Amino acid sequence: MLEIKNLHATVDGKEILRGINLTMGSGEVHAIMGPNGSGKSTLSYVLSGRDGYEVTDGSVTYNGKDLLVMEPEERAGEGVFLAFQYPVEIPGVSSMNFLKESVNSVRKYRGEEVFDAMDFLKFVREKTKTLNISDDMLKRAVNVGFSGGEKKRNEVLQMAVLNPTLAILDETDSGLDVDALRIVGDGVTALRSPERSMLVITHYQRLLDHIVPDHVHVLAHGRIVKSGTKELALELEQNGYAEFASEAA
Amino acid sequence: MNSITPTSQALLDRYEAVKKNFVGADVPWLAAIRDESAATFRKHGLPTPRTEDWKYTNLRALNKIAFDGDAATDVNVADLPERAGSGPRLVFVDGRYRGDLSHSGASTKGVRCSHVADLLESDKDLIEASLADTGDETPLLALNGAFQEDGYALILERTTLVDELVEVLHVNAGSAVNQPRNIIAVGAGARVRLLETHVGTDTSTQFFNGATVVTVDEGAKVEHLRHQMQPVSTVHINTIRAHVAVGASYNSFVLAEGGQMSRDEIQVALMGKAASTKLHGVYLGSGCQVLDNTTVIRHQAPGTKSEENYRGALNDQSRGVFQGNILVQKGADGTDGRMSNKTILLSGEAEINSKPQLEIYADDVQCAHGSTAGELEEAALFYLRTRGIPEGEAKTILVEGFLAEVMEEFGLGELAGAFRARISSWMEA
Ligand SMILES: Nc1ncnc2c1ncn2[C@@H]1O[C@H](COP(=O)(O)OP(=O)(O)OP(=O)(O)O)[C@@H](O)[C@H]1O
Ligand SMILES: [Mg+2]
Repeated sequence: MLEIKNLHATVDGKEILRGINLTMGSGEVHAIMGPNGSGKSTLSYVLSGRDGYEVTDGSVTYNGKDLLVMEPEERAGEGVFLAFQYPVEIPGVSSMNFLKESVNSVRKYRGEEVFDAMDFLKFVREKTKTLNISDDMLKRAVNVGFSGGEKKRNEVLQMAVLNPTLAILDETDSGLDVDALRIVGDGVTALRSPERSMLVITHYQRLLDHIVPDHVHVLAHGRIVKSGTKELALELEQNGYAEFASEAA
Repeated sequence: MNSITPTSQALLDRYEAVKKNFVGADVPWLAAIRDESAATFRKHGLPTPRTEDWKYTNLRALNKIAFDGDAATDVNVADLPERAGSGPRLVFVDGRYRGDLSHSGASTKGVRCSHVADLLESDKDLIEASLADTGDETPLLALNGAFQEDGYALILERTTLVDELVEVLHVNAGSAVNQPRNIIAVGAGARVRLLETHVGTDTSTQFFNGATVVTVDEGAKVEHLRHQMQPVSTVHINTIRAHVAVGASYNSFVLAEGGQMSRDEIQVALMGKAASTKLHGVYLGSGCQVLDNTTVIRHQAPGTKSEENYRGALNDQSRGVFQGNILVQKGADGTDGRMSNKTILLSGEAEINSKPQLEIYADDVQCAHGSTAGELEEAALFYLRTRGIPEGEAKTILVEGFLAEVMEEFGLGELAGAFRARISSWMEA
């Protein structure tokens, strides 16, 4: 369970998060919507521990532990996963090796047995099938030359193999065509479970058709200015964020 | 003329004192070459920082070396790194061929895989020109010419193909100065692949000043791989001069990680139409090391092609130097020359001096060069860490990936694993 209290954060001295409060029970899916530049990605980076994102006030506890004192890799070990809005290209590192390194690092952290090469291959192949990811893609360098849709599917694959308990999906549905959206939507839905909470950042209702949220929040100017049920998402898509412009200022 | 440094003078004094005892001192034509080389060296002396292409790489470490000492004899097979394959391996200890430590491999018709001292009597015609390169503009080549006693000789008759990797191992063991002169001469249509490894068993300050003269005849191919892993006490200079004929190629890859000061200088003359060269390398610097890669490519004929790609990782206060010279001579129309140098600086005190230089006197020429240097990309490091990979390992993965790109582009074949492993262990050290 995740508890964010009065979270303030600055980037390069500029305050971006200005008092966020959010509580997520385990197994819950929360959607965050909000205008461009409102701080959604910033929140995801603060939760996963990126350098340069300075928390100036507030707290974040996850399963009773202070998340903010942990290194990014420790948070991953504790079950936090971030699917990046813009997945990063890693030249010269094959996707397969990268996946194996990361899965084994996390397993080591969790006190689980690490995979050898053969077992890992089997394990990955099970996951790639459903996400329509070819072996050829796994041989290529991480995200290098991947299409936008391939990058997003690759993020979902990483989520599937790392088995997180808190998944933050930052616009995993952006830039996808209809078919890719279905693949990603199904992939994410398949990972929904009572042990896994999801924080789904999106601009569109369509992903939420696949993965129905328990709660929807509006983030504007670094604060959650409205919360509601899944109907709120529909409403926002129709009416935009104009009504929050004044509230947030 | 009289302004050569005391160290240069000390080297010349040493030359006069010991030349009577050199291997082949009684071979008049060789003695003449040595004297001529010494005279050329005397004209210039050792380069100083005022010498244009030695601006970034200082030889003052040589001032502390006493230029004496004899070749070591107490080196055993057990002291040597393992062979990379089952092909021949020639072992040189302090510049002297050691048959007892070498492997001859399967003999192939038309291939001589030997050493210079063994060919002095029998094969003057094959070797004289290569030994006689006195290095007018390259004082260290002249110095090498004066002191040359032995070196490997890899000579292929036309159309001979050597399938197995040929290995040469240079061991710096005891003598303070080690100056082998090597020969690669490959006849038309022939093909060979060679791995040279430089190691040292002694941690006193030593001076390795090797030179290799390469001739690649029409349509022949030479692939020349080097791994320089001498102790950090060594001053290592290796000069390669390659002459490439019509449709032939000279390709070189160097992994440089040893020496307090190391310079790998390659001069390639693309003399025939459609001749090509690919010069790639990786350098790994730590401590106070200075690692220099200098290349001079002369496009002398139409349709010639050169590709250079050097990448390195520098830690602590180490410094890298990359000097890439491409000269396209008049008439070398349709030349294609590409040069790239990228460095990751793992410490705030590490530094790279990267100096690409193009001189073009022909038409329809495509030349491109680029160089970058910087820290590891924060976004990439963060990405790996969010996937549970600890910071140290994440850095290793990124550096390996960055360097692996050059190795993959070159194509190291069966050596790729071993070279990658060196990089991993360097990162972990
Ligand atoms: N390094 C930085 N220096 C200054 N401002 C920054 C920096 N990084 C981000 N910002 C600002 O922080 C604000 C929030 O950015 P963030 O990426 O969190 O928005 P977002 O809600 O994810 O937007 P989008 O919907 O476009 O993805 C923006 O105004 C952005 O310009
Ligand atoms: Mg964003």
